[in-house]
Amino acid sequence: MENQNTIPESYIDLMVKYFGGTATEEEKQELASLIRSSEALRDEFQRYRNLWDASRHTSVSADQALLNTLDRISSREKPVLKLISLWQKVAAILVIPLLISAIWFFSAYYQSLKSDRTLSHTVYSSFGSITEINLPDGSKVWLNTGSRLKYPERFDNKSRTVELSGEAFFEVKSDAGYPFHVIAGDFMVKATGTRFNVMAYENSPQYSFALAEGKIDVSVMNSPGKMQRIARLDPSQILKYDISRNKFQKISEDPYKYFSWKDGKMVFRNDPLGEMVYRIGLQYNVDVEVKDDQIRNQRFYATFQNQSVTEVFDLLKLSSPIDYVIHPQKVLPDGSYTRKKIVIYSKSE
Amino acid sequence: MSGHDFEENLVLLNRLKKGDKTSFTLLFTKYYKDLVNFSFSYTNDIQESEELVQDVFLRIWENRQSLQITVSLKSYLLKSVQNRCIDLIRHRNIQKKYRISILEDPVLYETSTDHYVLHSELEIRLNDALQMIAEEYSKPFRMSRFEGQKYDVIAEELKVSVRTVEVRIAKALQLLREELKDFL
Repeated sequence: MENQNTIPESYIDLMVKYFGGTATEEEKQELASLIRSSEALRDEFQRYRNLWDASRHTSVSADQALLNTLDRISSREKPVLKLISLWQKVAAILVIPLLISAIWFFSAYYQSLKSDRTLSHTVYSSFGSITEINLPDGSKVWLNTGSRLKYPERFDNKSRTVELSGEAFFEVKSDAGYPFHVIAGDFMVKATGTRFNVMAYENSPQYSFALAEGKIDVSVMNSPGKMQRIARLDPSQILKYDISRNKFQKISEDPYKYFSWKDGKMVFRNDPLGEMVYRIGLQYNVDVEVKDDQIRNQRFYATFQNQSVTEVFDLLKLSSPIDYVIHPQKVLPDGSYTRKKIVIYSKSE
Repeated sequence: MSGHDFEENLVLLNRLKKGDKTSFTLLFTKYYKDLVNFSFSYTNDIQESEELVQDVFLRIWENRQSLQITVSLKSYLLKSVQNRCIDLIRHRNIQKKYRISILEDPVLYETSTDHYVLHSELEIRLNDALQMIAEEYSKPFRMSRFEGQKYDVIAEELKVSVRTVEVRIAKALQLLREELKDFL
């Protein structure tokens, strides 16, 4: 807007009186009719009003208000639960429509998987193993430990769609007119002839999408069939999503460390300990806890291959002020085992 | 706000619709203070504003599955709060404390929520801009906006007339508007 200096001072004067509550009725009416008379003046008024209102200081705390609001939400949700336990018939009637809509919701997603009544395969990669999968179109997938991939026996003619829970590296056969889709949680990755890694473990604190070659689009699915693109990645770009803070980060770096796991290696390049322990815990199927906050940001450059978990931590110990304790597996009353737990401390001099 | 605001809001909304309480908490924490500030310009009462904004969030949670938001998340929240404020004013116009009277022309209080800059978005730039203008103008401006003083109180403290306060604040606004023209 080039002309804001042509707003007469008398106009701003009226505004200041109105904002401050010293305007007379006549002055208010004069201001109102001035605003009505011109789109430009109306626009200017809005901006001044914005400036006036938004510059105000208020000391308001969101914390208590949030607790109050969450309380109100809980108290409103309780009676419904009571109803269902008392009124079995009502519960049945309520539940069925929900089920039906849920089925419709999922069947819409998986249209491509069930279209000509082909079977779909689900492959699990249990803890401690990496599974290589050859898809019907010749594409290859490496499935990391504790992950699951679902794909059809035959891809339909519109697109190639698979569903991932966990982590996988994809080597997709090139075909521009025949896109390859990976559904992972709330996200969908669209690719044509590329090599990329998707990390989307259901209970992990972070999701990541790392591109080695080609191009991928990452989208979020709002409703069945409705996608909105969040990012387009070029080679050596990585999109990270922090779940607890709902924050996206797009960075450029050598992507190898994101999929070195498929070669049986863990590669760390200036990575903070706090992030490394997630990868280590995954690889060795252990719980790792960083006890002291100050070592959480300690950064490491390291490549590990064919080492035991104690060897890994012994090596890390050598170059930094950390120490660790291993808590062995415990048998629970029901006969199951807890995982081995490693706790990392700051080593005080 | 971060450089990925739009995408983050998309995902947040998606999670909210599925009943994820963490995303509700994130949404609340992100926008609460700014929305209370916005509401205050209508109600002139902090407690009223806080209750009003909490009601808006409560309603959003209750209607989360059928939320249809075509504008930006921020605009949607501002509009929801604004509508509630205007309803409140219409129903309770008898009480003088409201800054806005129902007899007033709506053009005076209906703000566009499409390009509205929030307090948290404005704060740093405003402080920088204030450094650039003369103390004669910035001081009464600060007393009004930051300390919440009315013009007559400012006049008394600065030992000038109310009219002078008006003129100086007008000048401050004009200069600030110029200084922040790429932003507002």
